[in-house]
Amino acid sequence: MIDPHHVLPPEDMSNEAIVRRLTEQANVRIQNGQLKKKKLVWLELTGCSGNIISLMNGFNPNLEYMLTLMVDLVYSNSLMAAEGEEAIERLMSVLDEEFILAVEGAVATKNNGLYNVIGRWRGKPFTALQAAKMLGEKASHVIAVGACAVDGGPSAAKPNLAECVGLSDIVKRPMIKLPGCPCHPDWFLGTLAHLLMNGVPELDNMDRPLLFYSTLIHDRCPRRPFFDKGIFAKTLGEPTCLFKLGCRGPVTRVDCPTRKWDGYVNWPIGASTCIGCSQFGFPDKMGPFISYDITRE
Amino acid sequence: MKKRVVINPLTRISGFMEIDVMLEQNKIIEVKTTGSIFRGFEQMMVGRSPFDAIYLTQRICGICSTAHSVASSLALEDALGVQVTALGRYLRDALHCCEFLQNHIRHTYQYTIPDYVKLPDVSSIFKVDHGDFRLPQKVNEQLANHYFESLRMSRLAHQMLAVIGGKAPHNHGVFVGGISTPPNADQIVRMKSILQTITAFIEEKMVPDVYLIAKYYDDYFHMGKGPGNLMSYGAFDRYKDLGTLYVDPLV
Ligand code: SF4
Repeated sequence: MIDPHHVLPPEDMSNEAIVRRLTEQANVRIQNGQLKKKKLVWLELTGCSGNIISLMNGFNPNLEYMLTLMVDLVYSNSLMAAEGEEAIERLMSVLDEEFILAVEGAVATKNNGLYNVIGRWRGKPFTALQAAKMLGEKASHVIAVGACAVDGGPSAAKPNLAECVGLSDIVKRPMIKLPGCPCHPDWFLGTLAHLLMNGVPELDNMDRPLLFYSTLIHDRCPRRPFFDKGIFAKTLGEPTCLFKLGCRGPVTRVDCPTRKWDGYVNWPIGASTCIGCSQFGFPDKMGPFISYDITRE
Repeated sequence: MKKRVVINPLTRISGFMEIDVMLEQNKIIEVKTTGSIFRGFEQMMVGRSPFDAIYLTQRICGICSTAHSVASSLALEDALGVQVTALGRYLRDALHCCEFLQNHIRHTYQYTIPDYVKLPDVSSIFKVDHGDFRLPQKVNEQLANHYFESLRMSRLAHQMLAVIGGKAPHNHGVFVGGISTPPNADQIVRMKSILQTITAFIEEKMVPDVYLIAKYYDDYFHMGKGPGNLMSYGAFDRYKDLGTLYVDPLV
């Protein structure tokens, strides 16, 4: 094997090449036992499992980078090779060790949590509720990823038949909250990187990292000049301000307009209104998402 | 003698499922599958603004969210008596196609390949104690490399969706009448360019990989065959100019 520390000219300085070199270097150090990756448990609870899909959409860093360089992912319902009892055993084995816990999805509480069973443990149903309590108490750090984990989100939308609640209603301890539906991969991976390098990032009074959640969408929106001049779109597809169609940018705090999505190509207001998915109370407090009838000339 | 085998969680799916199998003399005599999550999306729609369905129903599932926005917009068009234009339909279907690509690539590599291919020791999630691994080492290695390469491709498929859909998962592009904002030329060419990369991967790697696995596991074709009663709503079908590109509605 070529020593990855030596890069022969001409150096390939593309992002991919740099990531590959770093990954190789880290792999060598991991194999030599010089570096021990922290363990990460990713729990999918009551939700759409779309936050792990969003995580797979991360560009730089990407999922490959996270898996090989940042952490040792121990449990993920969507990705792990093991299944059945073997998978749950892996999850339980981590309880004696130090691990970071990321949770997506709300916690269904009705009928003792039976509205969401995430596996079987010793023959009995193992509910999202049990998993949240068990792992939430033992983790070194807890990150609530996405709207459902943060405050119930769409899973808790009225009439909330499964009686879903956010993670912090079940696990009483400090945690980092990353609202968004789904959570942007950079918000999670940036938070994770901060946790690994410098500890818990600075949070606002709602437990969101200031790094990502300190600006109002409305203050950075490229359609803002139209708002200031009072030029409002009457239908989606017009390039002017979407306020009168129900845009929730004025009440939603996150860096969506400057960061953008999926390799930074576009964002919700590039297509239609902001529906406030990164704000507490989504979706019930943010509807109607589109309203054609609030403006009359 | 009867033996019961329960698999829960059935990992590498988007959601939660239990498989409960009863065996007698190595033959399956009964199977039960249980979806083990209930949120009640139908009830959530009651009393909400109808347009919200396009957004909220996407939250049913993170890997196929666009399908739910498409279904909601079709239902609304039906209810409102809106006739979608040919262009509107093409654009909405183009978004839906991006989701198909993302979904099928992840389904093949992230959700299915680990049953046949031993993945490298870089992460605990790739460890597995049981399995029916038959591929020769070289083939295994090649498919494991494609597992990682595919991550970039499915990502690009979602990027292509976001170019006009705003973001993915849970897009803002699909709407009554097709899509919310018509794309301009630079967005279309961007999508086409991304598509070229993905197409090359699918043709040169993904399809051959599936055939390769089929070759080593040909006995699987004769195991666990269902009754064969299948139903399709149809997809990308009966265009005026292009005819059916994918599948007609059929039983
Ligand atoms: S489109 Fe929304 S976020 Fe942008 S300026 Fe108008 S109201 Fe504010």
